[in-house]
Amino acid sequence: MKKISNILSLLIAALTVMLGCESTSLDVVESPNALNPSQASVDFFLNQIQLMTAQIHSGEEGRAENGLSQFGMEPVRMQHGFGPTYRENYDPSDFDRVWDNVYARALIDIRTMNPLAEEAGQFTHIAIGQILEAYIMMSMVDFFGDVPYSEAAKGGEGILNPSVDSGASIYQAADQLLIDAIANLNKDETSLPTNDLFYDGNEGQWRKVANTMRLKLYLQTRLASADGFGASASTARINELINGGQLILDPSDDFLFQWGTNNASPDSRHPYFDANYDGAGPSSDFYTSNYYMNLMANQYGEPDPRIRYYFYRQQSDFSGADVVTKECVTEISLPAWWDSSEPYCLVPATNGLSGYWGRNHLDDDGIPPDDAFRTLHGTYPVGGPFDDDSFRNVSGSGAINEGLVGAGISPILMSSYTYFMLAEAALTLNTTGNARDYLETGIRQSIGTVVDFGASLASGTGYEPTTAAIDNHIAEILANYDAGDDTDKLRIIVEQYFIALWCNGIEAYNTYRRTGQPDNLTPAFTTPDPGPFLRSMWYSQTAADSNTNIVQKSAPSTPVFWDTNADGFVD
Amino acid sequence: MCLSITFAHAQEKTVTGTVTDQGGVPLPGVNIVVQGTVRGTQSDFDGNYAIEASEGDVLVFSYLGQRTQQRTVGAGSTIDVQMEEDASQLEEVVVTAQGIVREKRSLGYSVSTVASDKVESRPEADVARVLNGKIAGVNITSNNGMSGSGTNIIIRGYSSATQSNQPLFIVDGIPFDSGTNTQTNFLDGNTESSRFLDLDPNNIESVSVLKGLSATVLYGNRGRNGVILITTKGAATGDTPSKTEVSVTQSVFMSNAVLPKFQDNYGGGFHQGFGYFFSNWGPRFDRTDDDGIATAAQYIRTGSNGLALLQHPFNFIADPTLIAGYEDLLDDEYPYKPYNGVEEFFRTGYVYSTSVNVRGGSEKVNFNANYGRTEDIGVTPGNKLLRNNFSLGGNATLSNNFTVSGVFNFARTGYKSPPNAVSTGSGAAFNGSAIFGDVLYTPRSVDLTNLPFQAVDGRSLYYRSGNDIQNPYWTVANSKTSQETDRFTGNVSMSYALNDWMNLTYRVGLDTYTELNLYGQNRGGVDGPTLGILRTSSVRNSIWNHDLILSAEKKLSEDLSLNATLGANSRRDTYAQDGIESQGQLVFGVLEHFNFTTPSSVNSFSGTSLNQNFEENLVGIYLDATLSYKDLLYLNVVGRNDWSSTLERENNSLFYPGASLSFIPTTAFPAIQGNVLNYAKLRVGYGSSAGFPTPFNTRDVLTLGARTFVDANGNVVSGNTVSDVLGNRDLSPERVQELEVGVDTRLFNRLNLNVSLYQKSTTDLITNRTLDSSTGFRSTFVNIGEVETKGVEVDYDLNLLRESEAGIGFNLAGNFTASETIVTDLAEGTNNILLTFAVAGEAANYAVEGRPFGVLLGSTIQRDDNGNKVVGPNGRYLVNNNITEIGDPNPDWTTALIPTITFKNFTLSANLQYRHGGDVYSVTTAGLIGRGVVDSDDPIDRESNYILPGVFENGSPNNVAISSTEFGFNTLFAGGINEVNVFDGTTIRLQEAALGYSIPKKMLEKTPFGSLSFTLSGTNLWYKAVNFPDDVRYDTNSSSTGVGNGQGIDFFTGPSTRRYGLTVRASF
Repeated sequence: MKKISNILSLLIAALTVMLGCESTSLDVVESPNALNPSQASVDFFLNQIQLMTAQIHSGEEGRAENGLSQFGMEPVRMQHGFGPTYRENYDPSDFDRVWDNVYARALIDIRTMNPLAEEAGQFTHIAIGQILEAYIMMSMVDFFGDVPYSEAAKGGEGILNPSVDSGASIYQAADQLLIDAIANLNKDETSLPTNDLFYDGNEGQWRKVANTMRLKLYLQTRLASADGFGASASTARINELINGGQLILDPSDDFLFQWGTNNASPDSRHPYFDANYDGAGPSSDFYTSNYYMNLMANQYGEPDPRIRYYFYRQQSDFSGADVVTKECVTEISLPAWWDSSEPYCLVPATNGLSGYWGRNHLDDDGIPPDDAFRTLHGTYPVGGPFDDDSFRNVSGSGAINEGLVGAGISPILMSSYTYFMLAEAALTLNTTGNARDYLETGIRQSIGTVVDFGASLASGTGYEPTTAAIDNHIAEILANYDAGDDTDKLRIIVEQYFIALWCNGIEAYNTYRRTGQPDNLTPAFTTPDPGPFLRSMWYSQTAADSNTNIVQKSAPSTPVFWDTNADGFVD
Repeated sequence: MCLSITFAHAQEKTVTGTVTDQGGVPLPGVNIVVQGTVRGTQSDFDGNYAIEASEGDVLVFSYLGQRTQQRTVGAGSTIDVQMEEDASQLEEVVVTAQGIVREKRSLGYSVSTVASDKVESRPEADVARVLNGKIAGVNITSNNGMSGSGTNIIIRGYSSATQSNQPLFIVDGIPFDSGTNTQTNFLDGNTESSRFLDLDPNNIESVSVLKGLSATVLYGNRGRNGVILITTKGAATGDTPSKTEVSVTQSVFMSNAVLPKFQDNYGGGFHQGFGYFFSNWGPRFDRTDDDGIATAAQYIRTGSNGLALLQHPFNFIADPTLIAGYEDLLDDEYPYKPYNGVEEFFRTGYVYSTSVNVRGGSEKVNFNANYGRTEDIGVTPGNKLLRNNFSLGGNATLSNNFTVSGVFNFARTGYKSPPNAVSTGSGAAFNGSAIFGDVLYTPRSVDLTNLPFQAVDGRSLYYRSGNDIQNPYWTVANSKTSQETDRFTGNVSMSYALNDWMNLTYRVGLDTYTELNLYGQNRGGVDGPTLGILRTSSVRNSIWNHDLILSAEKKLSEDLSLNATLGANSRRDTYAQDGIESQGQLVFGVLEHFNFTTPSSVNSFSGTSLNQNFEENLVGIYLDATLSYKDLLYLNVVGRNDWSSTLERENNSLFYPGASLSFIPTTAFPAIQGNVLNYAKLRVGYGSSAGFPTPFNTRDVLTLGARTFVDANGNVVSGNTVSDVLGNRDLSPERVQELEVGVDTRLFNRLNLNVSLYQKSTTDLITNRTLDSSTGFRSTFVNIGEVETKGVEVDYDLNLLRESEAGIGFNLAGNFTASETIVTDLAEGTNNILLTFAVAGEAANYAVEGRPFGVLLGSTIQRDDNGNKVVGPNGRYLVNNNITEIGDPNPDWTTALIPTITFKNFTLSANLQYRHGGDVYSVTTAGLIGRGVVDSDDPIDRESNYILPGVFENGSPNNVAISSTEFGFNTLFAGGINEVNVFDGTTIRLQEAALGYSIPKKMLEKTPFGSLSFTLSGTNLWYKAVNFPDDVRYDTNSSSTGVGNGQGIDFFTGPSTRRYGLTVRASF
């Protein structure tokens, strides 16, 4: 009896501890570390999608590569790309992050948000998602050509190797998204977004974005031969859009993302500000191309009025530079393939502004210790310091409070862009309106936007451009325009568009491949033949590696569908 | 070898006696078992033993190399036994799964044991590193040379692609968490300890390693990667010493960093031109040939000793506020010569280790108490480990057929080091600071030691004009990581003898620790957040483990007996982490959260929440039955069914069986037994196991960012986003199976030779499959693929000379391991699976179908259709960025040779290791040679030009000459060609050497000492990676990818250390 009670007491003790508590429960599959999808908020989705759009455009804090905009600025000599050939300018893995942001963040969030918003009658949320999706997917086609779309973001349905769709079909879908977005904006919604980071819920402004994006779409496809696209379709649609009067034509309607000044938890500053002014000096990617600075400093009789807002010079002269800080300083002879009228090593001070220190196109030398010389991004649009001839050293670890402390903008579709697009359309497609007038308004609005943006820093420095200076500058440009033939006219329109596009490499890269202008960009630095131009980019490394339906390109030279220009059209 | 459980018995008495050897010398450690029971003990230091037995019982006395003796208990209570040397009967008793004690001969699988003397008094505080090279089939790799850093252990190859391949640690019968709680992934720092660091090697009585699945079935799915069974001295109190014994061990070791051999001919610059650069391709120091330094802008004059004198680098610092207070240095002339800055940066390390052990008791109750203290001051400044261990164990036999035993261990481990983020040869590649990245390739002409490293306001200060490299001394002074761990492990076991052949045991164990992690850096750094950062997190990890075991031992007939164990097990793991990260330091130098402006609950490096909770429950039932026939044939059948909480109900159960057979031909056919073949055992075993995934991978989740963005007005904007990980409700356990055959022999009365062959395969691999993000997700866990490992393990022990015969003893032991894990199948649509985090543009480990597990894929030199290397117009190689296989990191085979020479009271022993093959992608080598601080074996003539062998894209031969800098720096280092930095990892190593002397007992008779011995010993005394460039002195026993499934990847792992010192042991 005692034995049985002994056994029982041991068993009971064991079983009580083993089974009596939570230790044998097998029902713990839900993670306590995240939300359940049923707890999603439509407003929170929209916030995330809007921020992601800005990051796809301008990159993220602390990342080596800074979004599609930077990828676009490097080949067209706005910023410096390493090369030494186009093939080597980028690695496929450089595009992994933006690919992730597009598909695994923006697109899946839009697709997940839509049914929830539909059910709740939040049509404005849906419309904004549609507009952003159209913008993002058009940009993906612009950079990569044929990419997954109709089968994209369907991993949950078991599609783990999405096929690519033709660029033209994605553009068609984007156009439809924009049309649907306008329809959704016209519906009565149950509630507006609580945090519309772009327009604070103003549906009229979103309608203008949708229309302007259609203008961009049809200008972009004016050379395309795919069904539904081409010169006649473009002409008809653009004229419709002009007549509709619902384009972004006033700077108050600018489509831009406003960054903040918070530097941690999370870093909410313009990502390029972080790359210029945080810690270890400017990140090695951040050289402005000598071509671009020269264009603004020296092309006309006076420097462009925006130049002090765009760039900050740390030095006024380079007497302290030597072969160490810049190899070419001591090299007198130009490479054989270099036009002597082009800036070679330094940007000359033809118009009296000295100290612009950039880098030549596709220069793959190591990064010299030139932090103290390098010209940095200024006030517009990244929120850095205004160039008031103070020539301070702002590249070190003490520079984090410079200028607007990173409260810059990502310019996505500015009103000035509309005018430049209309100017190109008028010149090449004979659409409604006068190219010269559009050009002038474009330049004026761009200068106005930049000057207003930097007013808090520039005012009182004595370096704000006067109205007369602005007028004179524009008059000179227009005089050149008037004197030129159609090629010259197109070049001038695109040059001025390029200047207005500072830090929007997406449109600059597209415009260059579409128009072939400016046709006088500086050549590659180390070799006369850097290989075929980047007519599109490598596919993301992870995508090509993990998706059996994506085969990596043999070279990043395949034109996208709207680029029907001949081989060697641009270089 | 010792029993922690003693079983009460009817009509018993205590039998005592003394066991001596052939020469009459008391023999400690003899196993004494009451035949037909699991009751047993060991003789103590003086050969004395005491055991409960009844009249008529048979006592079996066994000892390795001695003929087993049997004595029947008669009326008396004293039985003295003299053992006879005879190696034909290996009656060794080993602890197997769930603490079941078995005669080694009955096992159908191999079990390797390592005794305490091979583990204690070693210069390494980490038990895994101490085991390195001692057991065939066990591959042990340090993360880096820092004391206390993590250690990777792989037993018999890899069985899972993305689940853990780390073995299970069982300490004193209960699971012991051996995790490495990395606070960010290895890219941002790889300093965290593996938690078996909390074990004091000096408190270990024995280590058994169960390698094969047929041995580990009873441990459930966690045992699938092998089990390391550790018996601490606290649990080893099954025997009853006649008196209380105190033993004390004190060790002092020194350690040195094994640094590259730097060249001293050239200084900083490029193209033989001087510059205050971070590369070393500048002019000659000796100023013969081309006196390039004289043309430098910084050149002032030639000093009296012929050295060129330069303007101090502070003259070129662009930001004048940095050098405020150091203006007097501006006029200092700075000699252009080689400095030994790197050599002076590392220091001599010390290890102080103390261990005190007390054991004693009475007939029914005995105990063991242990205290250990280890202080390990690393060679890297700022690196230190301090550990205090307390343990108390004991058992008691109660009068009512109950036996109770328990062990309690407490460990406090404190560890700190500077951060060690991945460096690809230019500072830190990611968010954290990188202590080794910034220091190892310091140009020879930089006087690292004597330059001020900190500006008056605390900012890092160095020699470059842009001040864009963090001074390593600043890192040491201002940046640190630490882990403070308090750990308690304890178990209590209660046994009740149901009758004379059945026992019921309940054992409960708790292993719990709190780990306080800190990562901090003052403001003013160049790497990491400029405004300073402090991240602290506290982890509480617990394992509750319960076993209820019914064991039976019954003689079924004259020849047939049965041993059976039926058990139920439940294990609950919980991990709770809370933390806070602050940025924006206010007062320089104060690393406390109150001194920071911006708190956050998110780790800004990894983007993950600092608050993480995991729980996992596992329930299993198991059966183990052994049928033995005449002590010559043993059939063992095992099976276990597990239910895991990490999978959905439909898929959460798996049964896995095993069986093994052991046959002793020398017993079955006594005719074959003789002086040639003393003993032989043939064994064959089959085992299987399950692999359950880590928790929370079956459901889709939504990531909430409470602070996704702060707008320009300071408003906090929240967001939610679909998680990047696609949940998979259909996920099921992976299934591992293994077949093992082996033979254990003793030959010529001198040679023990054991050979095992195994083949292991895993199907339904739980794989973290990388998805093209156009699926909407970046990865998902799926059951795809198969891996298969084949291997052979040999260990031997040859008594070349017996001390008793020759006066000098010479024993040669050793082991040999060859294994290969092949990825035999990946699902259709999967090209490869990335096994670790990858660094963009650098090689990484992948699983590729048909290839060895973990092959290195990376970029290569572009080749044309004819296989020619293609150069670009600039004369440098074009890069093929489509990643292709560039190396196999798995060594072909490894072997260790352990000679021991004994002469009188001296013992000289060593552990020599050889690793054949196994490629290493070495960024250290690339960085040191590419930055020009180390000359490769085929030195780059810096005053020559080079034409790379290859052709242009049009097929014509390359004729463009490039400079030595372009060759060394741009091609070998910065060219993005991973292929050129893969080296064969064949290594010869003197892993251990020791010279011991024990004072003869006679001399101690009039002293209080029972024994006294002195040992001089060292580890990692010498090594050479024969196919690496000599001067790099790269140690292949390191891995930047940390504890996990990566290997052969080096992103500046840092120098390894050579350790040596003296140990004194005494017992009273």
